[in-house]
Amino acid sequence: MIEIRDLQIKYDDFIAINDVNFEIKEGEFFTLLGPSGCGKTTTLRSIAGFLKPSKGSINVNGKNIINIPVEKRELGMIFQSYALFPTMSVYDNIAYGLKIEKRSKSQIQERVLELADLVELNEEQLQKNVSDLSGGQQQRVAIARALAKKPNIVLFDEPLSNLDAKLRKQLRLELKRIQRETGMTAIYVTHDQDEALEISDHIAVFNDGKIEQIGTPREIYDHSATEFVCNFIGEANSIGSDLIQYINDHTDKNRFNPEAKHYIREEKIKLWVPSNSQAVPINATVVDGVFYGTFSTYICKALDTTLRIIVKEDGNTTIDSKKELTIYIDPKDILEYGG
Amino acid sequence: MNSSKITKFRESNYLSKIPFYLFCIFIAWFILSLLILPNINVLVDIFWVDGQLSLSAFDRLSRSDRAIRAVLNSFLLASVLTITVNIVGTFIVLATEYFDIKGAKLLRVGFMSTLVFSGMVLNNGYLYVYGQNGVLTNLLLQVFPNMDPNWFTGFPAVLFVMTFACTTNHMLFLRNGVKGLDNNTIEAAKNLGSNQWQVLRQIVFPTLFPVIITLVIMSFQLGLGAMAAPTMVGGEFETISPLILNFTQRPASRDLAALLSIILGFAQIILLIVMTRNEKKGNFMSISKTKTRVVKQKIENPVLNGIVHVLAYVLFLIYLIPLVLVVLFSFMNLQGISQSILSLEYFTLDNYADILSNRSNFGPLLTSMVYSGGAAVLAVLFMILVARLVMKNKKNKLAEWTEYLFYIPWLLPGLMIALGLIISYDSPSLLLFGNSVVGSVWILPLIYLIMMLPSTLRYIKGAYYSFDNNLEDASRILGSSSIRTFVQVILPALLPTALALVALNFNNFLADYDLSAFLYHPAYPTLGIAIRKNADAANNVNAAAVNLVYSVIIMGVSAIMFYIVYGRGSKIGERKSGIKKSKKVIKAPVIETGIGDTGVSDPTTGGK
Repeated sequence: MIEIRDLQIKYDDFIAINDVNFEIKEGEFFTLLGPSGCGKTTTLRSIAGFLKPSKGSINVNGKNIINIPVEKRELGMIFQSYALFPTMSVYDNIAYGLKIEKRSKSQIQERVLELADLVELNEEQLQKNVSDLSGGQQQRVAIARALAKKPNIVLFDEPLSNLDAKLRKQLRLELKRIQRETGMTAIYVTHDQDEALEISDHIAVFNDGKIEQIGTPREIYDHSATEFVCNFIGEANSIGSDLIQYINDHTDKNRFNPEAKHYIREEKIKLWVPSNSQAVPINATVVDGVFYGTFSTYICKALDTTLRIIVKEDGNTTIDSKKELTIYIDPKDILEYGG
Repeated sequence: MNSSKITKFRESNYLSKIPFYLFCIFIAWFILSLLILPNINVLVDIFWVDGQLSLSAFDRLSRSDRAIRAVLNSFLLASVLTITVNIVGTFIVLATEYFDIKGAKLLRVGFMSTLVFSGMVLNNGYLYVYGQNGVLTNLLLQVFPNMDPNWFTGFPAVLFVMTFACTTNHMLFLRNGVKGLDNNTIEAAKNLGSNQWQVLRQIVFPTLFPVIITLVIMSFQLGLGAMAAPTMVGGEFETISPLILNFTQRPASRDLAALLSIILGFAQIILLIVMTRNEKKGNFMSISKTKTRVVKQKIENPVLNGIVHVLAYVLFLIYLIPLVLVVLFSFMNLQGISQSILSLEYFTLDNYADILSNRSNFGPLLTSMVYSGGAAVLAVLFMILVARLVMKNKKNKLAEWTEYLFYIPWLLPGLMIALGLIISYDSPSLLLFGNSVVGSVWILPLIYLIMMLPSTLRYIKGAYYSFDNNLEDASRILGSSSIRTFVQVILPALLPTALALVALNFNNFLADYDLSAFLYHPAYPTLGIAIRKNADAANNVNAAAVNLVYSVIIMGVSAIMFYIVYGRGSKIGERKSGIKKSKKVIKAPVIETGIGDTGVSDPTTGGK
């Protein structure tokens, strides 16, 4: 188990991360999510040992590893740029850590082939220079190299950000598969919320050097703890005060604080009476609509609020602009912050 | 010590830091005893006489007509050279890269010949054509028997030799500037109604202006510190550098030598400041994202076109004739050489066989190769470690100052540093562990090494900047120690740059004369010294033959080095290492980027 306690990292006078606390269970896929410069990579690099915290502790199985040099921490790491050694072949890159451990040639060969099989690289590719591989193949080499020494913990520093969207999606699933098959504990840094939601067991959302929320993907999405998390994860509509007042008037009085900020996810707004009778019907006008194939989005105006609504396409529904319609909002789907 | 303390001690890697601390002590010793103290001693030698501050050296210098004349001559040469070099240099670059001149590729080969035909070899080559017993002089004497055979001497001769020698910088830097022009800007100017001359004056020259300013400063600097050309063809025209050498050899005038070298150093520092300021203003290279290559401009005026063609080919002949004659005559027997006759009848390989079999002739070649080769390898290894230290401690003021101190040889002329070493260590010194440098065989490679340090450090640092730091992190996290990471990951990535720097440094100092003249060991003369002595033996045909062969060998070695560094050789190396296609490419040092370096060798001396 990994425990991060009161972690603080300073660059001269600038505090990059402060008061960071979290725990990761063995075999878990844990993601550090946040925008650029929020401190997620700094946290990861301090776990790796490249940065020394100015305060706090990093405990692995009960032992504080802060003073242990990088090379003795026995962690695997996959870098954003892959960091493959350009002067070595694919085989030598994967075997690098094993050679340092002074394993026998046959053991090294066996392990490299095993890993090549795991990450789906063939023997011909193993003999190539790393610069002769495509981006996706280089990523596989980086994964194999990091796993070669069978580390219990593997750190991923935005490993898919250099790939195109389609390949990224494909490799996400493969990473998850490899993590399951090997049983390793993965700490994964990304700024891509879809990626985080798809592959993580738990997510820590970072903002401005601090953790805003830790939870499962569903908890983070459905019950975003802060306004930042709500806006950063998925798409949410900001609800104006008139509309909130209207909803208040049509449900329990003063359910929502008019001084607070309110949001609702796009897909939570319905165009048809939902089975849940708590939903409040609201008159709205369609301003614009865009067809995306499997779904469409509509921009609607309701009182003082412009709402973006996602509707699954069944092929029969066509909603024209300027059309007046009734939308339904369930008060329990409204997220309230501050006030 | 309890077990937890032992574990903590092991984890903290104290023992592994011992080599690091030893290296730091070595650096401190090197900087103090070889870079700082000798130069301070030069100042002390001038201003501290009989235990008190004295300005008597200034007084003596001002009363020495010879010294004053040398200073004025140096400034005259530098000023005029600035004009001639830039006119010729700009012309040859425009003729080969900008205008559509027939046979431009051939012309380029001729104009770039000074890359290999440089230093003492060039001086010797020009003497071989224009000197007292030169091929051209002999021809002219047949037409004009009353002509002075020693016509190629004095200021015009020095200016002529240096003008053509110094255009190497134009072919490297200005050529790169012209190639960097955006053709769209030229087309846009034409589209707006500019004629060819207006495009050149209003678009091309202003874009190249920062490069030209730098080249002006570099030309001035080379003229001011000129050594070999004034020594070999200057005659009565004496400049500062040869005079420093002359004064140094007389103990009573050593303070004057020191003062002259300070004047030279002061001028160099001012020029460096001006050049750095000019560089900081930036350049005007294309900001376009879709830059197009320059399309060669056909000169529309037929008369002008003809004149430019004729001028280009005349210059081509001036550049190439000495080189070709040196190569061809190196294969002629003594009779052919003495009569300046090229004939198959006189063809021989004896000159080459003589160099390789005669110890007194082969000796200088071997000495220069060992000196410059050894210094080149050590300088690169040393600076790889220093650069690593600097890069790992970027925010550390001490590391920052360490780097600056290694740039001292850029600020000061080599002659001043040599003089400082002579003054400081002319008797056994504790700082050199009881050794003296004067009269030792290793003072010359040592000063070669010192002079190689700044440019080597700068290029190695550049290579470190290109290095993907994640590679180091990746190696460390895979369990590799710092030293192993350095040897197995960092060093192989730096290897192309390191090898290229070894080659360049070796090349720059192979035919050095300036520093050799100061510090060579009588038993081990260098190539530069041997060429100079042979050139002085004007009527000795054997000596001339030896010089011809030396010249061809040096040119051959230079050509091979340039091939390794910038030609196909480097590409093969890159392909094998697989670095070329990697995200962070570490290449051989690109001469073009070194425009701010004063580490560009003096093309007339081979030294710096």
